[in-house]
Amino acid sequence: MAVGLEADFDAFYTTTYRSIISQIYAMTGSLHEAEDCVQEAYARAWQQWSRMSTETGSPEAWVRTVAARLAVSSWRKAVNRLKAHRREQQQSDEVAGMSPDHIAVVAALRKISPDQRMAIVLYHFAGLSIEEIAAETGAAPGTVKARLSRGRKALAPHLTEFADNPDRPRSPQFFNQPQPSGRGI
Amino acid sequence: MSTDFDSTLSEALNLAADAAQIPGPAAARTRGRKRTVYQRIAISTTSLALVAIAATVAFKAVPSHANTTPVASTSTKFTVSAGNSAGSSSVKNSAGTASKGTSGDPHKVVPGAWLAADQLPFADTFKWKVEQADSQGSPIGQPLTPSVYYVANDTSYQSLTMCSDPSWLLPRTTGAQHSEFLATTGTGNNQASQYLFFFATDGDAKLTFNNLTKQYGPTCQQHDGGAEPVLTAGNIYAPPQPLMNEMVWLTVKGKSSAPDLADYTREYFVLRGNVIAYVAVTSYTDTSLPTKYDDDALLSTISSHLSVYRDTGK
Repeated sequence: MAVGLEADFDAFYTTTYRSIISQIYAMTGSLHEAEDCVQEAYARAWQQWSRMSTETGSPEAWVRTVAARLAVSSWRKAVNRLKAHRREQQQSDEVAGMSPDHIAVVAALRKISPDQRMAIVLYHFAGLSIEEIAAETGAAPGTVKARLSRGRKALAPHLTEFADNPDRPRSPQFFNQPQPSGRGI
Repeated sequence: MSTDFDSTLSEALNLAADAAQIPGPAAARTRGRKRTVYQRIAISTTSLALVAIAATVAFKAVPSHANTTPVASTSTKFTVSAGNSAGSSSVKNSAGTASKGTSGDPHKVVPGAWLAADQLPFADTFKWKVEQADSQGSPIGQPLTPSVYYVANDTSYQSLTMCSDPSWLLPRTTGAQHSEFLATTGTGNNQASQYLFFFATDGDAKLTFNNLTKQYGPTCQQHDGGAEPVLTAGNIYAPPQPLMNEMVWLTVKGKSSAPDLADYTREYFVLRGNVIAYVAVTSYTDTSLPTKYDDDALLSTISSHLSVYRDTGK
């Protein structure tokens, strides 16, 4: 590949890696998994970069989509299960500096469906609009709205359960808002 | 969802981003160039010791054939087993007979088992050239020769073959060997690969091949956004018919919703003894490749090379 393409790809990687790794971490709940999926997605992007850089509207969305697809792949899970027991020392997946609130949010996300999780992460963290999420996930805008709504409902009991735990106190407004007060839809 | 949720989520994910390792774009390019392979777990010290200690012999595979695999240099230490080299495209069955063959061993390179560059599919179109280790190293595995790599069975693969559950292949082997080829024509991203997967017993290899035949179609469609692999040679195993020992799958991206699916992938599988050979051509840019190809001839070529390995028929 030409040097110009390499420079183009490297700049793309550098400017997008941080946001994508955090979003895929939200999808997987595992930093190691997220790192692997994201790097794999970038590798696949490079495989067709000459075409992607000119024909793909948003390479960032492409990489995110591929990484998310890898993250929820049952194939990957099968391989990872086999791998897991072979590891002599399982590396910790805890992220330094996270509070119980942070951990609770990430853990709760793991308990809802991948589609709902994707919609919530893209909407509440990546800041994409309903239409942008629809375009990226291949779903109708109405479907995205439904995933957000159902995702929030699915999250609520997991977060409430945590809030009710007297050993792990947290701010009450976290769960008790009946309607979204952050980014309304 | 409350604003507090937004801010807490953002904080958590930013902390994760801070903690994440950044392999860097060069690593991504290398990984992409070497296909979708990623080794997370280091090869065991035992394996390294075997390679380092046992091998002192170097070989040269048909000097008249520039793109032949494998190519060894006198400075490289590796283990070489007896067997003829895959030196010329005119070689159709130059290897030993079944009774004289050796049992497949992932740590031993048998030159005769490998196809030459001009024996690979679409060789006339792409003028394949074997890829050798470069200054960036290789994420694939430990080089046994400059162009053949040992791949441990606990190596992490995102996708080794186009379809099927990957847990049915590499993790069940005693290890594998891999060689990669790049096109020297055109500007598109076109690749060819050859793998040899080694199993503890002939029965293990047969069981794996059997499951590959059964899983390939339906699993693929579900995972790859509707892309339909087409069996162009061989048969799906359906007892009581005997298990075939070879098959060819063609997968074209078509209208698949999987964004990273290659435009064209043609994959050859051949079973012999405790070895499964896998040869694949992948194109991310060339949609004009024909759906029809002389697969029978290619399978015959692969089989002839595999005959360096014994086949007990069990």
